[in-house]
Amino acid sequence: MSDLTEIQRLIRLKRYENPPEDFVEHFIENLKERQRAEILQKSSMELFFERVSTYFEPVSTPQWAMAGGAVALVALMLMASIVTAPQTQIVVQTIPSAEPTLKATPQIHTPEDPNRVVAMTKSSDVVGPVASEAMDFGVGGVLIGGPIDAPENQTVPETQLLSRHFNSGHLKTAPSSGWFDIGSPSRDMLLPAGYESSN
Amino acid sequence: MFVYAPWRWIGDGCERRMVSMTELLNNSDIDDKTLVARAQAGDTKAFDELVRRYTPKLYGLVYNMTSNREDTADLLQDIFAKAYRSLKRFLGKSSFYTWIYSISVNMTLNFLKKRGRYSKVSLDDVDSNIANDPIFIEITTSKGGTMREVSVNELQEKLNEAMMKLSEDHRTVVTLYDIQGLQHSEISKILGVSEGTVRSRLFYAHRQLQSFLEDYVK
Repeated sequence: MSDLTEIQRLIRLKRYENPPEDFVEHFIENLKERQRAEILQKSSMELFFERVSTYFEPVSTPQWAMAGGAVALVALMLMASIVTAPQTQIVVQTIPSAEPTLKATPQIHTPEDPNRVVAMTKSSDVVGPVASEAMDFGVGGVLIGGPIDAPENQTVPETQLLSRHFNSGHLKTAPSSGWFDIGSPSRDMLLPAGYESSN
Repeated sequence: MFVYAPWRWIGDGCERRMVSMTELLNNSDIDDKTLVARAQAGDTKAFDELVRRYTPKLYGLVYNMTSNREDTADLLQDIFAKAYRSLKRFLGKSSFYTWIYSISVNMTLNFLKKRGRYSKVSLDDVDSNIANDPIFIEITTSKGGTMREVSVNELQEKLNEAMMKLSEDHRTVVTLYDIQGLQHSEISKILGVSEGTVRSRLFYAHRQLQSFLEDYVK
């Protein structure tokens, strides 16, 4: 008989180490008491979190499935945050005198802070058809690229303005996400076709 | 299969007889699958029967991995408490036996990692039947026919010491295979490793044990 087999036989002697005979019955009683005590002592929130953590513990679920689930959860949360993000709106102000002037500066008010005015670009930088339309319209047209049939101080959704502007072919690039941060506009994004930035 | 009816006919043809619910509910005769289904439906007595059925086996597993009977009792409570909480998630794809063993092994390994290397040893009493075991007689008898000066307690301590020198992974497979008598295939399912890995771990564990216990095998 090989030594390894001898070792196995020797180790098997550990089977003779046993708990006392009444261990099992006492154990079951103790287990029941413990479960009852847990229910009474723990708050409903603790029990809830314990249930949740037990559910996500890898008892028989492969680790990769857990990781995949976590990634999917994060992706869902990101999608939800994008979909539910508030859309920025642009308030178009018209100048009462409506004098055509190249010095007029387009003003965009952010809805969060109506007093905050963002100057998008100098009207003197604008050339071509957009400039003329801007002159015709007054102020807002510099950015919009065409007349807007909106009453004074009406709030116009940004998406409406942008889609109109893109459809007119005046913008060089369109924002891929469909909307952009009005507080920090990209200059090149707003330049009309054929215009090259001096920078 | 368990039937939710006050009575049912069993047997065939002329031997048919009506049995009472109490006869059907004699838990010790019911298989694990039925007990699990009943426990999942809220029958706490069915779960008690599962605990009664698996406590001795799982005690052996945890005890031989921790070498501390107090830790074993505490850990065993944690194991069954967790099994009870997770029972609804048990879909029966594996046997309950494999499932509860997997929980036990994972929780025991986690416990050992937290406990660290040094711990107090607290051993159970050795059954007096060991004196009649042919292996015990063989190792306590010298070739000349005279008894060696090996007491049961000394042997127990030496075996325990050797087991605790093994890594946790090696100790697990030795416990499951050599002490508990599980097959390689069963161990591979419980541990989630291949049978080849189980055999490899066993081989290296036996070689280590051989060096620790060479005085008893020669």
